Parts: sequence; structure tokens; C-alpha cells
Amino acid sequence: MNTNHNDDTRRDDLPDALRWQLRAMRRDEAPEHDLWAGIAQRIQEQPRQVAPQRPRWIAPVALAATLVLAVGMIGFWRSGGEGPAKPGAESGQRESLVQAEAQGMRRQYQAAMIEVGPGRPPAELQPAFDELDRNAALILDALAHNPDSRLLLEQLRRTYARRLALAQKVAYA
Amino acid sequence: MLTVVTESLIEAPAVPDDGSEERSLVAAAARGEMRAFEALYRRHAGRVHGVIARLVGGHGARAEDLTQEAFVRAWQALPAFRFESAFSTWLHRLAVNTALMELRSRRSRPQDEGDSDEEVFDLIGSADSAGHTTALSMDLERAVASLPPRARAVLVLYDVEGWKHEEIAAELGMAVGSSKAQLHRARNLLRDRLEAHA
Repeated sequence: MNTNHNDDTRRDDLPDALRWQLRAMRRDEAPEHDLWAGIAQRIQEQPRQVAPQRPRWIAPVALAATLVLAVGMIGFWRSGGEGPAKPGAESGQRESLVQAEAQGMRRQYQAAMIEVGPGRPPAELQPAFDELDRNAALILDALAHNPDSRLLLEQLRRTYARRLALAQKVAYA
Repeated sequence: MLTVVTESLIEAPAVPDDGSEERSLVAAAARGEMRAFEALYRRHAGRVHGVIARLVGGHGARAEDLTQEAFVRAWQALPAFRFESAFSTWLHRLAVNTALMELRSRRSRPQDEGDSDEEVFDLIGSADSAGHTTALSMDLERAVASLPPRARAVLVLYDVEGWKHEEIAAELGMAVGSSKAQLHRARNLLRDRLEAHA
């Protein structure tokens, strides 16, 4: 509830009488016609889309999946992701390691999303979901062209983690 | 005048509090009991229709269609309702969202209803059956209804419903600054129109 006393409203402040009159417009107004018959007809024609009940064990499983993403990255940095650049065949091996890690991360992310469920996000969050999906696709594409990039791999991890966190937030709201 | 207004503000709400009876009705409706949902409709139709009518600027068939739509959406969404807020609050929010979705869809069809002030002035200036312009008998409610849709929505949500700019911005998919600018614009237009026809 706003208080109507912040600085932004003072600039174009309303006379008190008008302010009160506006607030007084907040009143019930019954529709002229009884709408129930139409509502009843529509809800009988459109069966509810009942979302499947999520068992209580899913939350820890999804959390674990998130942790797998994070731990997988730490393991990657410690094993092959650090150290001086290696020439020749070793460099090729490290490139495939980055890509393999990206693919593994993608599979873990998809498994986590299945656990969280396909819940439909509210309309106001849909652009955020779309943007994160678009970013993930762009990063995967960039990785295909630059398979040695640890920066892209880290960006992919962050994007998946954000997408998963947002999906969890919606699923358990 | 202020006394009358204040009294109307503190009068008991038409809808009883969300007590155990309301909770039982909501739970039964969530399980699929139509009679329980009808009882909820009877309790809340006035409030839902009222806010929708204010947002769309009229009390005709459009407001009634949207009221019906809001209750159908409520029926669909009820199984997910977790009593984290009062049912009346949840339903009010859903009604606002239903009206705003319609405003947004109209905005994407500019031939239907734009935010053009000229169009609005055309509406204000149209002659009524008695041969007088409607502008001559304009009161506050009609002045609000005559505002451009987006400006009206922000003004109604802020000055009538008491929302914060952050909430309005989120619901309308705009920046907080845009919500403040729209409110400024709406208030100026409202004052001008009321003064012009005083």
C-alpha cells in the first residue's frame, strides 16, 4: 500500500479533496447482470489443467542437481581447467575436455529441470525464462566455435544455475 | 464532502473477512465443488467487477466479460492457491491482472484503442441524447474513465487501489520510472479535465 507521501508524488501533488475522492472510488460495484451462468458454463467446458503434485522429495533432489553443477565445475577447474596452455595434441585434448564438460553440464541441467517439473511460469517471468534460454543457446553455439573457452563454460554454468533457480522459485512458490 | 468520503472509506466491507467459512469454501472449490465456487462468486463479484470497471474505464459489457474471465481464471488457478494471502487479496490481484492483460492486448492492436489524447477528447466531446456534450456533466469517475488506458491504469492502481509504483511497474511490465511518469501525466490530464469542465 502506498502512502502517497513520497517525493515523486509531491511534485505533482493532488489536492487533498481530490485525493480522498479518488480513494473513495475504491468500492464494490456488482455487475449489472448475474454472470454466474456464463462462468459455470465455461468452467464446465474447460476442465482444469491440474498440475501434477510434486512429491516433497523433489526439492532436495533439485537442490542436489544444482550442487552437482557447481561441484562438477570445481572438479573441472582442479583437474584439467587450470595450468599453462599445452601445445599440440594435449591442447586438442583440453578442448574436448571443455566441450565434454559443457555437454555433461547440459545433461545435468536437463535432468534437474525434469525433476523440478515443467511448471508454466507466470507471464511476468516468461521474458526472463526466454532470455536465459536464449543466452544458454548462444553460449553453446559460441562454445562450438571456441571449444577452448573456459570463460564460456563458466558463463554456461552461471546461466544454467540462474535458470534452474528461477524454475525452482516458480515451482515452489 | 470529506466527511462523506471518509465515512464511505471506513464502512464495513461487503465481503466478510477470510474466516473459517471462507477458507472452507475456497478449499471445497479447489477440490472442484462448483457450489462452493458459486458462493465465492456471490461474495466477491462486486469487488472484482468494481476494480475491473475502474481499470477499463467503464461498466458495460467489456467489464462484465472481464469479470467472467477473471472468475474462470480463478477457478483454474484455485488448486494452486496455498492460503499464503487472503483469498480476497489473491482474487483482487487476479482481477487486476485480467484487466491489464486485456489492456496490453488492446495496446498491441493500435486500431482498437490507443493512448491518443485526441481519441479520448473525441469521446468526451460526443453529444448525448439530450443534445448536450457529455463533457458538460463530467464527474470524477467519468474523467478517470476518459484517461488514456495506460495512464488510467497507473492512476487507478496508485491513487485508487493504493499500490506502489514497484508493484504497478511489475504488473504492467514497465520500468518504475515509467509508472511514475504515467501517474504524473494522468494526474495532470485529470486536473485539466476537471478544471475545464468545472
